[in-house]
Amino acid sequence: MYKLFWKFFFTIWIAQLTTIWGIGTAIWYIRHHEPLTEVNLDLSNGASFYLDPVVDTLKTQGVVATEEYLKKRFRRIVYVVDINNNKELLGRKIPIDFLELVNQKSHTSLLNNAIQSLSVDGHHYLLFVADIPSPWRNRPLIPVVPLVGATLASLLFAFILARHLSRPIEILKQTISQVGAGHFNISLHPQLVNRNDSLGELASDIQNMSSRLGKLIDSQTKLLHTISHELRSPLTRLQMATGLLRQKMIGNDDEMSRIERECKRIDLLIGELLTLSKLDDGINHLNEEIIDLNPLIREISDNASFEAKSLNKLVSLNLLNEFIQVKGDTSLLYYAIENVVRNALRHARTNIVITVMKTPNEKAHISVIDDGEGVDDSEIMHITQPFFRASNTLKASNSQGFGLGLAITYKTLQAHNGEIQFSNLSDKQGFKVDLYLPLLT
Amino acid sequence: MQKVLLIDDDIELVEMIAEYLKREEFDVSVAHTGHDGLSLLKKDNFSIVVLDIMMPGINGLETLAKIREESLIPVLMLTARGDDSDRIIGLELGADDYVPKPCTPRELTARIKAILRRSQNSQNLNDNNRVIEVNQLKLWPGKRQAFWFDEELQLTSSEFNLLEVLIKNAGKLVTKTQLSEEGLGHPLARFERSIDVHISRIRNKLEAINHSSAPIKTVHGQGYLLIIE
Ligand SMILES: Nc1ncnc2c1ncn2[C@@H]1O[C@H](COP(=O)(O)OP(=O)(O)OP(=O)(O)O)[C@@H](O)[C@H]1O
Ligand SMILES: [Mg+2]
Repeated sequence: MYKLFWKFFFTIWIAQLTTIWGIGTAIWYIRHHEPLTEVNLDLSNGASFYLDPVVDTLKTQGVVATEEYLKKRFRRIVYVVDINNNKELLGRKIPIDFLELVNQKSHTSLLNNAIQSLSVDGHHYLLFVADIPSPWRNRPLIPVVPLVGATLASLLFAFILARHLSRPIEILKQTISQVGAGHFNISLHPQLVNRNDSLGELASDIQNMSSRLGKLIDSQTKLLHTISHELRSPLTRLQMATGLLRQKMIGNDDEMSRIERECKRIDLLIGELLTLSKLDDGINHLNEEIIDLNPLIREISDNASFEAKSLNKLVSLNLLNEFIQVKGDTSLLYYAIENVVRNALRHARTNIVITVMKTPNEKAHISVIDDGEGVDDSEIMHITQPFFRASNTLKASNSQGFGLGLAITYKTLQAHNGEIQFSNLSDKQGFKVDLYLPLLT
Repeated sequence: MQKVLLIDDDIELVEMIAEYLKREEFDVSVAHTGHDGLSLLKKDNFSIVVLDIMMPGINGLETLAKIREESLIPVLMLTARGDDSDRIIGLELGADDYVPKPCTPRELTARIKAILRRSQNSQNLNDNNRVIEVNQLKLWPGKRQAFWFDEELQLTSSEFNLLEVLIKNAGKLVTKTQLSEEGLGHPLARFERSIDVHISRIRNKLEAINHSSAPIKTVHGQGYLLIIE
């Protein structure tokens, strides 16, 4: 999470360090080559101590060797000036008035050789010694204190700047992941609201976008909910009218039964749609009851067994001999599991096996296996989509589903932090559905 | 003839229900708003009210609350199928039972009859003076009266029936299935919470009279039990 901060921090810090060191080096370089304004001409007896070796070198080894020699660092600086053109041997700048001073003094200083002149290869040279001004002389080659100070200062500023940049982004990231989790009504952190820069604008844009998104999705679910709900009134009237009709005409009522059956089917569809829209509406509205899974699954299994008998199928149940409790909405979980069992019952040849287990990582595991033909591998990923019916249902004569069951099952498990997995047994020998729910601890 | 008051804002639907019930030998009055219903209720003596909970205006739940302020007349609610919350609130307000909409007229009539059958004073004279007594709780099933510490309990028809089932089985666990079948007159629907709501209302009424806890014990996930001391 703080990755961004460190990235900012190091980038800024390194940039600052580079700048500081670069500028520092530049200043240092310039200072060492600037004209000797504050330099004092050394006329003491000791001056010849520095001058003599230079004169020697110039005499015996020539100009190039002398230049090399001069580049070495001494406590005093030895200047070698070509009188003809007033150029110093190493190109160091010497103010004119300073040279005049040297010329004046040269006569008086000849005694102690503090200023010497020399002719080599037709060039006349004037040699003299200058004191390095004290602040320069005392300065170490690497200026430790300023460097450490600058480094610390840059650390501080890099920290502040990195924080300033990365904080709002971190906050924004958290906000956006809230949106991702389905909370569209986000409130911005005051730090973001009070910003007048692009980041602040970005934040408020994101807020607007997400509230719009929320409203759209909201109206969508509301619409589904309202439609389903509104369909109920005419359906109630229809059922009432059918009942009345049946009451009035006693006798053959095949068609009447069909109408009643279809009414029930529409009612069922509306019920499933309402459940789906309730699940879409969000996890917040679900009940949070403590549920014993064993009796719940036993009831589902008993009901299925009862139905299976007339179909010459067999439902077997393997319960775990201990309390298995989960937290959630009983009616939704009942429906979720029941639908899987009903699907199995519908598609099984003869056998349905329901097993309840515990996984090592504290989850309830309910597996429902049937010995039907299963689902085409290419279709498995689609079977949780609303209104999806796999190609196998077209062949089955008793298929009456809407294809909403597994969509509800899937969303219910999602809402309960559970998982669902589908797999075909080998050789089209059956279909297996695994449901996982976090156990109550 | 039993007098039924139908309160529902769906005019056509009410018409059809009324016709159906008339053919089933009921005397039916209809009202399309809670207000009308309440004033009709004051004028006449009804055996049962069938009340749509999802009405606009002064809605069904408010009407129910107003009815309960005045009388213990049996109330059957019409609720939206799948909407647990309205149903539970209705039961908490003292409705006797509910029928989810949409329903067939047969289901509705069956529910009405079940409630009426159980809310009538017994015609059997022998029954009239029979008393069941457990601890401080006295029940006259014939007169449909109950006393707790010699104070009369104001119970709705369903509450009385459930208490009767419990007291007849005092000291024994009574499952919710049994309570539903014997007390409410229909099989227990899946995740039926109405029994729990009724029982908690009975408990509150007992505790209002005597602060020591009511003698009804919950057996988690299974049922209820009236304790004999
Ligand atoms: N046990 C199974 N064996 C084979 N196919 C299955 C099995 N379970 C589900 N399917 C396939 O997945 C499809 C989707 O299942 P789903 O439960 O969502 O819908 P449905 O059962 O057809 O209708 P509904 O559950 O809404 O009444 C089914 O139509 C069926 O083709
Ligand atoms: Mg299904």
